[in-house]
Amino acid sequence: MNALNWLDWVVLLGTMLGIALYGVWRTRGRSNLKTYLRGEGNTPWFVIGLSVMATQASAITFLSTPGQGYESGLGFVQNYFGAPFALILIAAVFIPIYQRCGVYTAYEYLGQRFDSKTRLLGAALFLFHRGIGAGITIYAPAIVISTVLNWPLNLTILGTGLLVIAYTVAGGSAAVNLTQKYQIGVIFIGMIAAFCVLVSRLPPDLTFTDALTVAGGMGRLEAVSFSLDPNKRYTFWSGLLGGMFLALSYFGADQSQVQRYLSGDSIRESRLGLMFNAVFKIPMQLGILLLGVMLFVFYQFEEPPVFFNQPAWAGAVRDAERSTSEVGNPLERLAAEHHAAYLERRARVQEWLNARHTGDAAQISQAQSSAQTANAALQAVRKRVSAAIKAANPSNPSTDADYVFVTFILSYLPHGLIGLLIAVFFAAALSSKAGELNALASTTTVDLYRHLFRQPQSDAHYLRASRLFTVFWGFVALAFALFAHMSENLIQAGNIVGSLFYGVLLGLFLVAFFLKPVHGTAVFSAAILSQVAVLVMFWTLEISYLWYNVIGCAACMVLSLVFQALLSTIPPRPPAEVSAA
Amino acid sequence: MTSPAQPEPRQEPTGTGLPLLRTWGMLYSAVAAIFGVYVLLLWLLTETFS
Repeated sequence: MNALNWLDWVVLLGTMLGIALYGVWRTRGRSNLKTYLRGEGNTPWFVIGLSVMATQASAITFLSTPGQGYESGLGFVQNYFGAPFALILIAAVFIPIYQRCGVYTAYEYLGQRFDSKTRLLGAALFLFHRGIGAGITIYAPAIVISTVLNWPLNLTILGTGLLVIAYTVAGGSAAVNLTQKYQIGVIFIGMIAAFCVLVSRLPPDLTFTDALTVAGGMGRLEAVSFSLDPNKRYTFWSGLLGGMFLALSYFGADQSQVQRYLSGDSIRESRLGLMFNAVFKIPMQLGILLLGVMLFVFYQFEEPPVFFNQPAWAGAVRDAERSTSEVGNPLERLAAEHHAAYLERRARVQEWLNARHTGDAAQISQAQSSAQTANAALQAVRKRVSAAIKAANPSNPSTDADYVFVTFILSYLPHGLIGLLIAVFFAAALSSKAGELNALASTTTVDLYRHLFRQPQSDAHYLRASRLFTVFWGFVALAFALFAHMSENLIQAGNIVGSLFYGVLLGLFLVAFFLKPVHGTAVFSAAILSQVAVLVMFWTLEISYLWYNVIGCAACMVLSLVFQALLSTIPPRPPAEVSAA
Repeated sequence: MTSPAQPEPRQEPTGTGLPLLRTWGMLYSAVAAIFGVYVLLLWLLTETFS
């Protein structure tokens, strides 16, 4: 693999620092709280659309998703099938309410609809899980990039963390919108360039149909499955229902997204921004997965590394050399087996492609079967390699999917483009993180600080507070990333924490929108009880954590109705619930 | 600071509820139809090459 040269550094630093400095410069001198928290108020729909997309697509989307396509094919795209319908529902129901109420945060609306305690509960649920998530947003790409480029991990985390804190503090929501527009531009240009280089490096006699045939024959093009088997990981049904639920929670009740589309000057702009995502989200994810599938085809004709996380492989070989008493290193024997299995697969795939041009169906079928068998043999060696690496040192990673794309970039892309692709990963990390910090600071200022300390203060006071809270959350995220020593499992744990709280949070909003008879005390009690139930179930049951989104939301809605019915039997008191804005 | 309970007047399209509903309803239907086309194309891709 190549190291970065001066050209890559110029492109990388020029892109990252250039966008950040431009964002600060363009938003300089803006000292208005509303602009700081909600942007200019004249953000056009396509900027809102790009901003929503940039906040959602983190660096790990661009690092890991091609690896997912390489390992498992296109099936993962089904996870996004529910998103268009969730976005339509949010555009039709959520946005008009948020815009009409003129709120800074989604949780402020809960205060208007219910009461102060429900507002604080919503804000607390958001701050807790998004605060943890902000650390992972920085850490996850830093660990991969610093490993392959041999950079100090803490320096990588600090560099990206401080840069994003600086421009988010300086420019607020307006700077986030502005920088995200250019960052997503860098991301698209970089990913398209990588795809073009990849296709150009396929064998010259391999047509695009041949490439798709090889990928399909090896099970990488099963994009849609209507199977009802609950054990099948990605299906049309789970994507449509589960995906819709997740998207509703994320886009409708998570302030990091709500803040992005509230920056439009009208309901129309906010709605069109979300419709932009409803239309382009699936093609974007499909494109990234297809890149991974093409990487799989590419590595039919170019020998892949034994393990894509090559520093981990090298370390495991050294560990095995020290600890083994056998003659010869077992990992080196596995490497030789991998090489032989690769040569066998390449020969069988070539025979299959040759057979396709004869038109003889029996010959094609037999050649395809041989190629599939050879591929299965190579995959079996890969599994043994993963197990051996883990056995050499239990702290070693057991999967290498996150390293597939970055290995290709560093091995086959020309200098300059390498710098651009590394910039893509950092741009994605910065854009997500900026959106999160901005939302965490807004929620802390509006829903906690201003709400709890009721003495009215000037706009300038709250603006200073917002800036301080941005710095505070930035450093919380940095501390989490620097000192938590996250493993793959801890990153997964971050996703689990999100799912444990998202369901109840969405439940609060769905009750607010659709269950008009329910009041604050009923929904608050239902949310607390539902959250406790979700946590108890998490510790006692072994079901997929994604189900907790559904369970938490459904429990909150049903219990709200039950509690409201019970409370209605109590003789009414004079109205005590007033607008808590 | 501006009270969120008193939203500023916004420049929204004028018209009665029903035409507006039709306009947005048509857009949402178009988005849902685009989703249908995506699924159809992906299904064809799956059936053709798997």
